[in-house]
Amino acid sequence: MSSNHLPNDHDLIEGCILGNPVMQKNLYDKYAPKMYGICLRYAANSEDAKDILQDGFVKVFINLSKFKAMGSFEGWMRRIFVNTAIELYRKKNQLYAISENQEENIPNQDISALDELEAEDIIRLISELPNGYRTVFNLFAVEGYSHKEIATMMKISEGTSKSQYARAKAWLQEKIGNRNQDKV
Amino acid sequence: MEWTKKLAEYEAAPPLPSWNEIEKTLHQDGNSLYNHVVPPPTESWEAISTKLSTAENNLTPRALNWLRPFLRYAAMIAFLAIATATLVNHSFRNALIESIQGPGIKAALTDTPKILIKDSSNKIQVKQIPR
Repeated sequence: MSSNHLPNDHDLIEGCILGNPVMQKNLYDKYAPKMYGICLRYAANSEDAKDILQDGFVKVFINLSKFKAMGSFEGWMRRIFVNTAIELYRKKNQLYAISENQEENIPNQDISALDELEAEDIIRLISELPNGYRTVFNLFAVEGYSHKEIATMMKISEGTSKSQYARAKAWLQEKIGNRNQDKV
Repeated sequence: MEWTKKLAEYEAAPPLPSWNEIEKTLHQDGNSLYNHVVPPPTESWEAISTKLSTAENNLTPRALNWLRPFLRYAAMIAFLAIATATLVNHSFRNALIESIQGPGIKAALTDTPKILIKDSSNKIQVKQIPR
């Protein structure tokens, strides 16, 4: 079936609520690539990303009847996947609060060095971030949540969220710097 | 020359990129991580189907959900009715009197008029009042 003949979101949702397996597969085919992109950003490795993808879709199908068509369906799904990733993170790790003033100590020299940096490269770098840094970085820099929202979602303090983000920035700068140094 | 020395130093240890540069790359059109798409692993759908059917089997049938509060109240009312009936039941009342065995309470609870008197050893005796 070509993507042009895929049912629209409304029909997909109704079909899935009724438990129609064809509609469930169609919904998966439509959204899995985008959701897997999210999973890869939050996971430390591909195995964790697969787990988040599977658990996320199971939650989506089970809770579809609770979706109120007030906002975007993709946004609703995205939140489920982000929360699933946070749950997995909580199971596996603990955040260690660091001093907030470290944010001010980040080197900020000027150099253009990212011309050849592709999304895959950035995702690879992000996946190498330590767990706490990675989750906060994704939520703040990519998803656009505020530190206050992140603190609530992750059950940490706002200061911890800020410091984790600062550490992530410093870490990424260093890694990108090393990468460029290797190329010289 | 001075500038060749500086260039050599720069090439040997280039400074870290600025965060603005990184952020710009993160938000570049067509390179946005937010909308980044990756084909999922082929075996994922099968795993999701299996997990989904297991999860659905473990869920209570939705049709029974509305019945739950009614069943809870029905059980509560039935319990209260049985408890009340048992407490006012005559044989239960008698059994309670017998079990207490206290002459004063027994006298107070039984229908026949009686009086309580103390004997010489200071024990309480129940004496039936002649009608």
